[in-house]
Amino acid sequence: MSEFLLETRNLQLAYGPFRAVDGVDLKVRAGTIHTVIGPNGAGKTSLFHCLTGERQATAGKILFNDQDIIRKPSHGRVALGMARSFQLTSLFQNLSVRENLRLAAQGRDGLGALNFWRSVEHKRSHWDTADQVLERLKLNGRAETLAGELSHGQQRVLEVGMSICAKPTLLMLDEPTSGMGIDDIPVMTELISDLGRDHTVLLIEHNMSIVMSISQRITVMSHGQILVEGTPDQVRNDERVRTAYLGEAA
Amino acid sequence: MTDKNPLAVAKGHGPALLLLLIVSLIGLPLILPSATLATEILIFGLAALACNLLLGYTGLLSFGQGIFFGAGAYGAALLMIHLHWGMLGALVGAALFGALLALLVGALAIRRKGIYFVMLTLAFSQMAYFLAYTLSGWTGGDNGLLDVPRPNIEIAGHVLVDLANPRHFYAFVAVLFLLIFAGALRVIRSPFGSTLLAIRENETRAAAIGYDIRHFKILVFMLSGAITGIAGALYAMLLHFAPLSNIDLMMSENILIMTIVGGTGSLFGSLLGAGAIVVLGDVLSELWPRWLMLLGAILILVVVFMRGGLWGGLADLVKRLQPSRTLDAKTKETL
Repeated sequence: MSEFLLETRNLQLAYGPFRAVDGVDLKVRAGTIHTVIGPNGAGKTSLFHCLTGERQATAGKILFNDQDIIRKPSHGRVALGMARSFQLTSLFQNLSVRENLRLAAQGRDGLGALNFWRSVEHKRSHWDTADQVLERLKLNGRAETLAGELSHGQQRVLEVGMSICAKPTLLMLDEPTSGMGIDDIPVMTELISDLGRDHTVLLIEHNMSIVMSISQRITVMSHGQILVEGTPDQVRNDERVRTAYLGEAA
Repeated sequence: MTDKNPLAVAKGHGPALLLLLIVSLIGLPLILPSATLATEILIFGLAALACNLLLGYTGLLSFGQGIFFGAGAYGAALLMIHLHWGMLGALVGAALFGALLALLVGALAIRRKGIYFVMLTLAFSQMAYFLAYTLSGWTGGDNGLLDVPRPNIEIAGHVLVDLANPRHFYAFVAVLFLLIFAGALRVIRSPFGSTLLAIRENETRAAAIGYDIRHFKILVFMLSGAITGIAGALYAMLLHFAPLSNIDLMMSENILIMTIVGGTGSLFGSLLGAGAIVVLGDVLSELWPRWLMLLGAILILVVVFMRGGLWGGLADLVKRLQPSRTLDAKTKETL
């Protein structure tokens, strides 16, 4: 077994002649919080889509636990131990918070969830998982609230929380602070670093204060390629990174 | 169109709902002028319930329900006429036939979403109609399939229940309805049923947390097809006749209208919807030959002003009038 939980080799996602992801070799070490940053249009989200299975990469390899998963559909990646959150909040709005989490826990059963002759009460473990995650998200008080009635900040927390219900080894979080108010951001930062203790986290994030404070490794992307990879300090002081960001701004 | 939280009904209220249903099943033939009319309500109640599993619980608007209804009617009739199968055999045959056709239609239609899915079910519906029309040697074509028997329930040649009597047949259908309703409640509260709601709410997220959506949609389609097939078989037995209109697009529409009028948030709503439309049709058609126009108006009113359908409207009314639920369970069924 290699030291990397997730590894891409020469990964490519092309839309016609345009290569949104252009030969990316990403290496995510098990047990770390690894962040991908980059200016708008750098290909972060496209890379993320390839990793989650939302888009089919046009070339290259994605190795998860040394297994090439490039042809696996998104639902099939859950059973292997991968889970994701969405940049735009994507919940079951008309179901309770607890039910949202229970469904996410049940998802790992795959086709086992086709069971239609037993009551959901029968599977205690899913309810237990939901309750544990509720506690961890500090949403116990809102367990029976409909997800759609939570505040925006709480919805973002639930969004991230749903991804840990299937007990994944790799958590892929797509801009978890997206649209969050300044007051809610510390809650999210704390949550992610807490989750980092039990899971390997691959984070795509814009908010620099979060990125620098909780990441162990940072990959900077630009024009579909990896520009720099290193520790937060290395990245902060790298001239190329500044140019990439400043060039974008100018 | 869908009620806000159908789980609220599914959770915990199971026994109360079944009690309400039993009271209704006993009360229905007492209120209505004939047992035949009551039987017709239950049969369409079954078809609407099956449609509701798709529309209310999975968010699939299927115009193909008439295919399964018609197939159940023809299938059961042919099994009884040519192979001399008994009542239960014919019903099981109709269920299997309905499920099999639903598998075929579902497997193709669910490859598309939204409006394209709806169009595919429409296309299948048209095909099934013309297929039935063309195969007149089997289906009787335009004339329908005549002389459909209604076998008694027998064990070793000994008649247990004589179903020629309309009241006995009603009782038989009522028992079937109760069993299927209880089964459907169970399905809704199962891991499978809860996943259907998740798919209805947010397909993308459901796939992201590990569900292979296609399998769930096909299975619910097959369940729906099986129940609709049983309803079709019972209808042919009720009329002693399987008309071509059973498999017509109009049948699919009727089933959908009953489901929507009754309320997509509750299985009991489907019985209400079927009851309302069947009784209205019976009463209005005697008063005015253009009664279908009124039906259209009623559908508009329900869709615009009663988003939860009759079930939702009643639930609101009950909440407003009386705080105690148990008393109202009795008054609700008279409607």
